[in-house]
Amino acid sequence: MQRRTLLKLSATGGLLSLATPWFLPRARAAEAGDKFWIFVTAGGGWDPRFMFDPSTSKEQNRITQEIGHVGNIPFSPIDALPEEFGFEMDAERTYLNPERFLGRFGSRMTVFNGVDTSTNNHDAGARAVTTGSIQEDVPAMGALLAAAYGQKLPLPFMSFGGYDATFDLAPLSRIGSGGQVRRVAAPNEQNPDDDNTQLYHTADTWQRIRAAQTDRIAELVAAQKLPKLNHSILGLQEARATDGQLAALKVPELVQLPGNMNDAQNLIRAGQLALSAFSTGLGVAASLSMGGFDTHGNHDQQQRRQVIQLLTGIGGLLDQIDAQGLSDRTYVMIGSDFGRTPSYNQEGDGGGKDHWPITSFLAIGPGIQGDRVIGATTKDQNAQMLDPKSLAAGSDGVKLTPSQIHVALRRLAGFDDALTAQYPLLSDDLPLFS
Amino acid sequence: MKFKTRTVGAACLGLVGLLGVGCAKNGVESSGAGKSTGKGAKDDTEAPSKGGPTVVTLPDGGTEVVAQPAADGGVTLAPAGADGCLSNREFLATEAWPKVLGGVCSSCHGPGGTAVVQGAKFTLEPSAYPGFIDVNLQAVATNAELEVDGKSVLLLKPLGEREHGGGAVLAKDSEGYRILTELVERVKAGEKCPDDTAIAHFDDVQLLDPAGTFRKAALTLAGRLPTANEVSALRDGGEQALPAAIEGLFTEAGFHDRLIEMFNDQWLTDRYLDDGTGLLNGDEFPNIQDYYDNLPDDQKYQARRSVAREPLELMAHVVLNDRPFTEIVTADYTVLNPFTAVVYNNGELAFKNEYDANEYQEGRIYAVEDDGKLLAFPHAGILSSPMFLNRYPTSRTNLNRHRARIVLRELLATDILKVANRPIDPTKAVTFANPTREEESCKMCHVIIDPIAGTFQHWDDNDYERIRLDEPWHDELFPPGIGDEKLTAAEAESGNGLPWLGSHIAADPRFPISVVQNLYRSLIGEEPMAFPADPSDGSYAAWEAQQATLRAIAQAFVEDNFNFKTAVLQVVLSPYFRAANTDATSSARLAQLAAVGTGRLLTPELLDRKITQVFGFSWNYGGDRTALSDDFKILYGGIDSETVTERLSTPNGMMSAISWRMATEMACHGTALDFAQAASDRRLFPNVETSTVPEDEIAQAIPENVAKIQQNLAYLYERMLGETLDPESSEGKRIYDLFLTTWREGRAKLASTEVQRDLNWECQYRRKPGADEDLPDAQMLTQDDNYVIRSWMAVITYLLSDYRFLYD
Repeated sequence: MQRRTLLKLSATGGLLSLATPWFLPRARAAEAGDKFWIFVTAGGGWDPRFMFDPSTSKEQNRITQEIGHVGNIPFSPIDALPEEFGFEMDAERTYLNPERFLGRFGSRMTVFNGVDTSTNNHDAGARAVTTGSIQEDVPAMGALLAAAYGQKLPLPFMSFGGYDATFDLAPLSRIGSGGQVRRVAAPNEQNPDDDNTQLYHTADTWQRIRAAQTDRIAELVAAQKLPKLNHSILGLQEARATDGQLAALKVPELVQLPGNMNDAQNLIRAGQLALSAFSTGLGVAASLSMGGFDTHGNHDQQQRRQVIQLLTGIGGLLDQIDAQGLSDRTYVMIGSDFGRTPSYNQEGDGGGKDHWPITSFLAIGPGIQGDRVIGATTKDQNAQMLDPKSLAAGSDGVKLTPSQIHVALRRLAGFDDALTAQYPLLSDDLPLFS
Repeated sequence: MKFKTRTVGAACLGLVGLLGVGCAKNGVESSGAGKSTGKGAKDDTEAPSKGGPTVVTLPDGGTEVVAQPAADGGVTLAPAGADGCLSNREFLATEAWPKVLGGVCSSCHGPGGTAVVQGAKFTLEPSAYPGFIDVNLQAVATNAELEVDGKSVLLLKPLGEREHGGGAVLAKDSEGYRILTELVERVKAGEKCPDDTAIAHFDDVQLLDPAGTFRKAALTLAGRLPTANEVSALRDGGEQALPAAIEGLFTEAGFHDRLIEMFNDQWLTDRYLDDGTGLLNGDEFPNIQDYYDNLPDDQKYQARRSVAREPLELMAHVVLNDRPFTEIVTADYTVLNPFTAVVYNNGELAFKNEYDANEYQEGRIYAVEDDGKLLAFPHAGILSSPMFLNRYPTSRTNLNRHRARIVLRELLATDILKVANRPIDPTKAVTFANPTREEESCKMCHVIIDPIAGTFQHWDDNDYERIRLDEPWHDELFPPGIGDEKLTAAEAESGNGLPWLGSHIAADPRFPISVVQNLYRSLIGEEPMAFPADPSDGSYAAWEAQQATLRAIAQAFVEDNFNFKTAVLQVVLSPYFRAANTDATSSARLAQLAAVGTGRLLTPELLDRKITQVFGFSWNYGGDRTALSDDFKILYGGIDSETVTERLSTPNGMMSAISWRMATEMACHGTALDFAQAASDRRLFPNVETSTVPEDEIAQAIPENVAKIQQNLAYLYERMLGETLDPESSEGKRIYDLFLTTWREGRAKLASTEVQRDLNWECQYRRKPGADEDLPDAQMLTQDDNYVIRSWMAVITYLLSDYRFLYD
């Protein structure tokens, strides 16, 4: 019997050096699939002024009015406070602020600034960042990817949060933890963790049961004329067609981060499971999310904290991708519902920032140019226009929107026109990833 | 909302009759007008039972969707009356709305539109608004009567005449103008296409028979299988006996649990099950320290859980005591048990057992004020529940708008994000000092939500369950109220905004629609259809049929004094719960039936209870939590009430694998166990023994044993799938072949010692489920000398993984 091989990761030691990837061992390169996609949503609306669209205005950033650069990418030099995360801050270890993140990953990242989501509505914004549209009837891009490239896979589109509507284009899997997956991946084995496990049924009987069930479902489908019931039986039939492949899934030991960085840790863990599915040819797309960005109050404290957790989590995820040899095949797209207002909603400590449609978007992946910023905001945090050819920001041109980004992403993904024609994005086709 | 009623012939009782669905005999049968109504069914002249109204109720001004014979012999939901003309309602829905009103007109006359902002009399509601067709038809009718020189202003203004703020938006020779002209002429002339045809939408639909319907209802509503006596009584009593049988379920403990589950799917307050007390402020509720901290750990768990469940228990209390369901927003009390009474400073109640978390009484919540006095909560059902206020928090800048959105969505069937979903321009907003009241794209939402938000004033934006009467409200917002009704200053100052809001929600015609829509989600497992983007295809008929059903249920609910059980009963009796198949074949007709029938993938909770009912014990890995309420709850499409709040309705490969895992483990754990019981006590194998082999030593069938095996297979199909098994059917042959082939394989492998006589350790019956110690050897069953136990394990695995076990 082929055993599921557990990835032994080096994170158990706790603190990790910036000089090396967090998770050292390399798994073999994936054998199945072509490209993989991870969409990360910072739920609630992040503040680009605290990240890679900084401002010198104290009205817009009370923590710091400095602007740093790593290569071509500007950043706000915010940092964690001592012991904010429940352990002694070490400048060389453990977490990523904007500067450290750029130092590690800026050379492979394109930053989009001045992206106009045209909404202050959380739901619409979450849709915009993952579909390119604020409308309700457009599936998440992960669903399009699953429909295009994962129809025969058991976990084509995994969701750990974020906007994940599929409109029945492809099955969606919501995954909580890895231990459960091991158990169900081999349902006829009494103890999947034991190489010498006994079986519930002999192999012949197991095959006989499954074959009989296959015939039964086919008979039920053929006899059922009500569309809704027919559709539901077909749903089970499709799921059954893929569940056996789960046996190939390798579930890694999940990362432990030191201190109180649960949000970052959860993001990395979700990413680990998604990468396991990718590397074993079981899935092609995943949606990850981290909340806590809706900082109507205590903005400086909470937004800074969540930005650091987000960048730490994404850094860990990228290290996982690298460690598994998937960096040339995996895209990571990071966005948020929208941005936050140019000014605070009250004086003094505890002031918050409200919803603002202008935001940023981050893209990393094979073929995506690094150390690059596309788009910009004015000093009032409105979107500058974009020259549609040179992509230079200025007063003329077109406004950069999630729709344009997704038009370009769809092209990058190589979708069939027939698929995307069902969910058109009426937008300029800009060379954002070329 | 006014309603008119009209009596129609009803072939059988309840909505089945109401909607013209023929009744079935025992088993699933084709139904149809004039066909058998099943044993005991009444003719159409008989008075209905309480559970089965025989009158059709429609909103005033509306007309029924009429039926016409279809080519395939079914009944089509035609866009025309019996004489071929459209009713005014249908004309608006299929012509005027998609081609002119919903686009050209509503862009300015819809919510927050320029015309509305400027005070236009002609306003339109979007398709997301409940009952929008009737509301808009009434708006057209009212405005069509305003004339200048004998011509309706509704036809003058779109041409740019009579000071139309939008100028000329339609050309006189355009199709849009032609349609608008016809609409105006229609409403002025009155209804010319009366619906004198029976509302017989589902004649070609096969329903579950009464016993089958009851089985599904019992599992869905009470978490149990029907008893043999109940099945027998329903087979004798037919449709007439069904409503009372279903109403009997409403008295069971399982119904209470199901109500809690259904209500949590909506309100998500179970998010705090593990930390209900942790949310409360120790100053107002000092017993959090004095009382709670000194409880034993198991009682602490009960206390936390009781605090978290308070709003859901209130809702269940209203239902189980036949109170008007409006009390969920108007009750001047909540329900408290011995734990929550102490936590909430209520010393007025006396309980029989201070540790009985199930003993509930009506009572008030009191908060300790700064001066030490007790302040009685201004109760307004769940609206004033500390859990509601925490689950839907506010802030100094959100100003209760989130709560207002939830009130609109969950209690008034109005999703503000759909009503007003359009792009905004941030550069415009900054030009206004108060954009939420002045900038159009902001105002369109805020004019609706801000007044409701204002009724939550005085509830603190930090300690959410704390009343702060000294906190002034915000004059920059639209004044507190709802719709055109304004909260009085006296009510506002006294902190009675929520009771005021609750009374207005209770009187709002959208409330019963909301209740029925939520109930539909709970029992059918999916959203009611949205108004179709293209009403010209069959989807409009499907939508309208569903709408008619929901309206009728809402009306029955209202007429029975907002009795929630009445609405439950009517949903269960409807074809949306009972439809099993159809005789229809035409694609047009099938499109019209798109929403009919359930075929719902069981939720983890429903599947969990079904498994427990079949086996007498649950699927678990030890401890108090079952596998489907813990290990696999989210993976199997469930919710955690926090970050995962929407259930999955379509299985994926992972969920399929979980169902297989469940099937193999439960077959393993349950088969030997059942055989170890006396035959009369067995749940699975009352007709066979471990010695009941199908063939003798020379491979000849043993007829007596084969008959017993067939008998037990039929028993299992009835018990586990609710299906009558014909041994000569393909399914009958398939399942017998599975048993026989597995047994032959085992017999051969036993002979060759490839397999052992001992069952696998995990599949042996050595101790009772949940017990800590093994049984005496004599009571154990560890060996399978004839390979019969393992053959039946294969059958049980097959049945547990079957579509009809995993779906309802």
